[in-house]
Amino acid sequence: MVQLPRARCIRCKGKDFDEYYPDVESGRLISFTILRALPGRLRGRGECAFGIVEFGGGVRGFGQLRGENLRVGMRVKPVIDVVADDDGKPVYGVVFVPREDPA
Amino acid sequence: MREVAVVGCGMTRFGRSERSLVDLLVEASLKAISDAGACERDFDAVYVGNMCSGEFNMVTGVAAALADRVGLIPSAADRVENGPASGGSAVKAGFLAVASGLYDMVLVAGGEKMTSTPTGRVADVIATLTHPEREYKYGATLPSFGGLLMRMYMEKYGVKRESISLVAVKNHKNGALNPYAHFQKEVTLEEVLRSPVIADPLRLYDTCPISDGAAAIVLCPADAAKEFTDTPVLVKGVGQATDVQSVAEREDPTVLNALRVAAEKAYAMAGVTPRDVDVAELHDAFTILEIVESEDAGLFEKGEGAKAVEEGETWIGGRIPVNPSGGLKARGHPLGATGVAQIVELTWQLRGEAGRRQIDGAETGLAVNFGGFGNSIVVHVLQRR
Repeated sequence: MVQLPRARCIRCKGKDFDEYYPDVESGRLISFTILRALPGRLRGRGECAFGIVEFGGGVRGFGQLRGENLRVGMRVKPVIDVVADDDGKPVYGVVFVPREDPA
Repeated sequence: MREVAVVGCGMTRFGRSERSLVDLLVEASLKAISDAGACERDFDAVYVGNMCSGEFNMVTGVAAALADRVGLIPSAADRVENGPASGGSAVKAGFLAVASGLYDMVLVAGGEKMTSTPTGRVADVIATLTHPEREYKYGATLPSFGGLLMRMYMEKYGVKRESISLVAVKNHKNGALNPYAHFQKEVTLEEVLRSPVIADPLRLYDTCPISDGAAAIVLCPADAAKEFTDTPVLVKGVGQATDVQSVAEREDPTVLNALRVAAEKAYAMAGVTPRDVDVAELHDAFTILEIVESEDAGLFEKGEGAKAVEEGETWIGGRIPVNPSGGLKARGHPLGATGVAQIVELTWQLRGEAGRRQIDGAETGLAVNFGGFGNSIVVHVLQRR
């Protein structure tokens, strides 16, 4: 089972984890929202989109989302970019951006 | 374990108040103690459900402060924190204290003072219950998860937002009958659908307000209840569970697994099934949550919760009324107060004291208090003796 980093496995309480990296080309948007009521760490923006993305193997990620015409099922890929402002310090994280369909 | 009875209850009006957190807790507590006819009695313990007294009000040690103010020292005192389920967890703590035999007279109060803090800061503080590295870091807020859940649910079950937002119409209709509710005015579906976007597709009127208020109950062993009331209400079942914190990591984010586990435990302890529930107080911080909770508490099949609202089943007069109080949407949601207020409403319902909101013949009540973003849930089942 693939899970986020934690001290002990939620299934077996084991501490031995192997690292797993999902195929970042396989991401599909399974839900999104466009937040208008923004928290302090997103100051300066008018709105911010968030998405839940599912990769091959059922692994999922959460992050900010960029792009026009967002729709469930669209192909997206993760990039690392500034996601928030912590009292003037930029915070980096995952932003999902639309991925072109292969030709 | 001993059987435990609710022998007194009371609450403040929820809404905007000029009064302090402790004053609100005092008002609710005095009402509950008086309702129990226990004004001369010493109490063994005071539990206070509250999420953010430090962050919002620069007040800590609030349970001991309450014991002082209402003249209950030297009783034991604890503040119980479980996010928006602080009230439910405080009720459970009081229940456990009496059921175990350790204490005989217990006061459980829940309260929150939110309106003296700017709205943006309130939302920021509440967001701290999300996963720090995977969610909070990104500026995720609870409404953003409400929007994500709503869209995911709509896609998966083919439900339109009109059906989900109908919950707000129902709960405002109920709130208009509740003198303690924050909002006592009906709203139309059109008004809900056209209200400002908070986190698309979630609109403002799909979300509960920020409120001040407090609620309180008095618990004692069921065998001693007749000293206080002719209409004791028994806490027959208690269940509590957790789930994966990060929403995206959950097996199915449209399923509240913590609720399934907690409800199963509570029903089993009470010796009832979901079909026995006559009235339910669910945690509708967002309209979609009432739908999903009604399913995962076993009241309806998965994906059918919105149809039940459309068909009138969960309105007062329907087969299984949900949130006759107005729910979080109309009654209001002072965070730590809600879980206790749900028990107060169910107690009134089961005693036949709910006035114009009364569900006739209600014998078994269900309360669901949602903490985290659904990763910590407390369930109570109450029954008339």
